[in-house]
Amino acid sequence: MRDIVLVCFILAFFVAAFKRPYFLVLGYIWVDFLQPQKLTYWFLNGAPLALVMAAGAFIYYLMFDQKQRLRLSTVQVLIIIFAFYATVSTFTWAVLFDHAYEKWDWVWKGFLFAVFLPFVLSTRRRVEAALFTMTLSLAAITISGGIKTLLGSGGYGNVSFLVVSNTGLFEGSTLATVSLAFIPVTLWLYRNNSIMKKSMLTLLATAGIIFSMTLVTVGAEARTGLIAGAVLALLLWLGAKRKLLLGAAMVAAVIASIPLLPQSFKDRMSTVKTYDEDVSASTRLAVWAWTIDYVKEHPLGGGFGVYRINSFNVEVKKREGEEGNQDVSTTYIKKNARAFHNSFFEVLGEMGYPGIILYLSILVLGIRTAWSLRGVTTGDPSHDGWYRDLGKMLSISMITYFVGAMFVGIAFQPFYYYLLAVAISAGHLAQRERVANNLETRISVRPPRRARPVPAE
Amino acid sequence: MVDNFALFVSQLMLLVVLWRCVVLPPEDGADEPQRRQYKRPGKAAEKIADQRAKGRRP
Repeated sequence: MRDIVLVCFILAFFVAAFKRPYFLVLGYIWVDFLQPQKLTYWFLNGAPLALVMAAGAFIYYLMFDQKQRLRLSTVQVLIIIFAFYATVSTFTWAVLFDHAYEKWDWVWKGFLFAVFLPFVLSTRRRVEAALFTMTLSLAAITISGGIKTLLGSGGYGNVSFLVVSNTGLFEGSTLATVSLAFIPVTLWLYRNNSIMKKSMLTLLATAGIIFSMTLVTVGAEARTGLIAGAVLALLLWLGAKRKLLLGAAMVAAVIASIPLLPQSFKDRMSTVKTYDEDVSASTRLAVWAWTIDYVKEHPLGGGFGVYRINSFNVEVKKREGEEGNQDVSTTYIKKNARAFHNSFFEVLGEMGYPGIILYLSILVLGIRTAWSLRGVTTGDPSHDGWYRDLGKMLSISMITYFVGAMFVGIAFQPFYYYLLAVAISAGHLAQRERVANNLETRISVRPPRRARPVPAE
Repeated sequence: MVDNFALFVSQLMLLVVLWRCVVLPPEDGADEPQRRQYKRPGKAAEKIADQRAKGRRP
């Protein structure tokens, strides 16, 4: 039954694309987020859906869509260079070619699609539709995980989010980070979208989705979620107009929810303070130290999946007795092939110094692109709010995402790059509106040079 | 059961949003598929008549 419904959904994307050519781009985003091929048992299982949708999106764009004259922005060029560098790394010096190839196979598609996305998201409605598709595809997983958490079946590594899998959004820490990062986007959609009129139903749907995104963070019991959640709350509070009201509501929500949190969640979160007693946290520190040593000898990195060759002893401390009179004992545990659990160390280990420079540049320029939307003036005051709020919310999303990325290896997952593509698209749209409203004379990606001050005579 | 419910609710919401995208009038025409530009009907006949008037064989 599920297969039939999902096949109908895919066919609907293709049929609707004859009327709205950008629908296949939405179809690709839907496939990338929801991964319907993993939710089915026969027909779609293992089908190259992403490739089919990507090819369809590109062909429909070339044949039917109106093309905008766009220049690639610096950050898009950097993403292309990063994809090229990852390709060269995979096929030349990757230590474990099979593992590297497996990861490269989905990385390059996500990167190139993120570069392609701004060409298609050429109207404000398309931007909204793309964000709706991302949010509601994610919501399928968060609603499922949220209900299971409420029913008491959460737990680190125990709860199944729609499907039992440890990849993509179905992995607990990744889901917690991405869910938190999409809360600002969901809020923005409710406040600014032109597709669905504001009503009690849309308010309830928005509240329900945001609640499920929060619940799934608790259900995943990932420490990533606690830290990224705190940063998200702080950023939302800083960006809010009614700080006192929002602050009071947040504090009340936290106080009210603490007794309801499962004991396993509290136990796991308490290990943030005593990280050296926890094997998982100590292993991460050991992996990061191994990565730094590895790139000293291999400055270009070891290719995707290089962490599988690591082997080290993890120092774990155990404290007994009361504070001030504690007996600390240290034990060493042998660990092999431990994942990076940090996006920055993931890039450093796999792509080396050139990779981390590219990644950090993309990260900084991406947040700058979103941040710059906060001051947009299009010449039409009724439109300015749309861009400014989008800029603020995308900035918060990206920062939250990167805080979470410090505890989970999601550097090559496409979610951040899609948010970045949306920010680039919005920048192009704002510029086009400025030209239409005679605030700017020509379409140009680069900002106009400042006139040099004339020296006083 | 829970999974199917979550899938149904979220995808129903997505379906409504996408349906609205199809039925709403395009913002500035950019959502409409590009149509091929055909020559004006009768243009060939006009050309022949014009050449005849000038005394040339079409």
